[in-house]
Amino acid sequence: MLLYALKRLAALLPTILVPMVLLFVLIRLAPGGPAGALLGDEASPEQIQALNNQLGLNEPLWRQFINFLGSLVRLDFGDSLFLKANVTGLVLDRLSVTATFVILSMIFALVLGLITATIASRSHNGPLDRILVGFAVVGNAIPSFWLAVMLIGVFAVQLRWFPVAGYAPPTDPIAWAQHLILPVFCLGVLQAAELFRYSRASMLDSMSQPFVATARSLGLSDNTIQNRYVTRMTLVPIMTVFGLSLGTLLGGAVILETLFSLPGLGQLLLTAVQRRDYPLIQGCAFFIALIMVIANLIVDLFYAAADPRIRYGKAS
Amino acid sequence: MSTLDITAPLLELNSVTVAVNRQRTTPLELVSDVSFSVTQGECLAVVGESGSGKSITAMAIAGLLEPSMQVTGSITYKSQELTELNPDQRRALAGTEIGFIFQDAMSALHPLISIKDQMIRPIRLHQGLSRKDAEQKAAELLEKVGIPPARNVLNSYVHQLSGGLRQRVMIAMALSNKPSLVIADEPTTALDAAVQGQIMELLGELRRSENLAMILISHDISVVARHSDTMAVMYAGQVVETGPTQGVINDARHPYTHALINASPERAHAPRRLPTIPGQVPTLDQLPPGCRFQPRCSFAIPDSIAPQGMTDFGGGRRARCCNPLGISA
Repeated sequence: MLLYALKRLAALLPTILVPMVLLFVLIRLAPGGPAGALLGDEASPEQIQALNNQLGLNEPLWRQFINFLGSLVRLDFGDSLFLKANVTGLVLDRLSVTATFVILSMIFALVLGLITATIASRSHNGPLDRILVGFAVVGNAIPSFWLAVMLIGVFAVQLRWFPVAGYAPPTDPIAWAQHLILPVFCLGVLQAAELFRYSRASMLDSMSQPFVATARSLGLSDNTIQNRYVTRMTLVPIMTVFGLSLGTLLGGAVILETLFSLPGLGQLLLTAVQRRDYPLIQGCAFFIALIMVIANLIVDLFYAAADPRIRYGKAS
Repeated sequence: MSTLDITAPLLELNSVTVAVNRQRTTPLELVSDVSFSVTQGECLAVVGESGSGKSITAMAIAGLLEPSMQVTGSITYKSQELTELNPDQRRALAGTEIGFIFQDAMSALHPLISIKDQMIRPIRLHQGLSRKDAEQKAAELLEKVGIPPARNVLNSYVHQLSGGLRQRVMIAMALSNKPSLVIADEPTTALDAAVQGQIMELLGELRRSENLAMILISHDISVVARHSDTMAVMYAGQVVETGPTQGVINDARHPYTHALINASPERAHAPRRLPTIPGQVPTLDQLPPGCRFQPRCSFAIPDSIAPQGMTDFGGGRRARCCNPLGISA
């Protein structure tokens, strides 16, 4: 198990390196550059040339690439061209907001998804089941930005229950919660719709398994069977859904952070791309890639904990 | 085989019918007019082909049928009418009075929960023991079914156990709350021949030491002949013959019973090919009128077209046939 984890950790390196190389090439292929963005439309070609020299962007591409690899190894991406601060520091600073946002959304999605799946599967084909399935279909179909705009329109602009946008640090818990409720609900409820479908299918499948009949023949109550035996079987599919939807979650977080003006990683990345802030783009992308692969590794390791039939490292 | 004592039966089924509701048409009868009884310490074998209603009957007794299936007729256990109990009252009997041993222990045990946790939950529920005492109890039960503590089965998961060990665990679980009646639904079908014998021996020993009544569901005539006191033969949802096992096997009244026993490898007298029963079991929505075996029966007479009731032949022998074998007209 430990050996397996170490092997997987070693395999992470190329997994991160490939997107980083792609990114390095792609941002340099995109039209425009940081100098143009920094100096504005009025800048003369000479000024741009001078700034590019200063930023090291006129060096041959291979030398830039080697510098970039060096920065990867040292986890030091230099200073942001616009924010004039160390990229790693900036990213880690914003990461806490994104992490709070995504983790709260995941917890909300898990609770909502599991509860609704339990209700639906226990009233299989009943009216409640059909209504919930209908909601899940809608939830799977609507894009997060649309829901976000609707939520802001209704609950922030019309009803004024929540602030329209912005963020407050957790030192002021009430304001902090008020600012997070809408975005967390928005991201979480869509994720819950996805989770609902998988958990409901898994629960319905488990309910017809012989071990349920065994539990009933031993006099266990329906609630015990549901909560201890049937829900237990949904653990693996739930983790699969989480593993698969991590990208969607982070991608959704980028969009929603911008819509709700949350000072998170997504917002930072978006402004960095708009300004061609190469060091900041590379730093943001590196940490997002790192989070993705580590989260996937954790999901894989949790599989073994959730299902004793999965034991890594013993095969072959 | 001297079980002729006139004690009140532990379990008695009287004209039990199980029907499943269908949309727009009449309910479909899965099991029709089943009557038999089991006394304390007795082993009743229920034999028949797949789909003959053996398992449905067993599930009806144990209260494990889906809510969409309706049971009519009477099932009395210790002079309690089971069909009138509410779900909570039924649940109180499950495991404590009626134990159930399932066919395939691999799927009948939870794949993700350790054997220990699966065993102690019902023990704690019904006996109110502490976790530690329940674990102790589970270890004792495993010893009783022939699993030494050294095997560390309690901390295993079902996929780590062999077929025989799994079935022993299944038996230990079914007996964990001391039921008086155990229903074993093809307990050895999923096992290889050598292990089959061991498991049947174990069930026989436990039955004697705990004075258990047992309903043994099987399609293996040799197992039935060796281990049961009485037997009931089912065909297309009906009991077609009941009686003491030796009597039924050696001298069948119903042509189906006769044909079934002749088709068993041990009973066939050295022919190259086993005798078979021509035709197929009718599907339940296309039953023939009258005797359900009549289209396949080589002894059918014009009267077979009429509905058949059970005829009493004395000595506990009953058969659903208008032209019974072994009776000189």
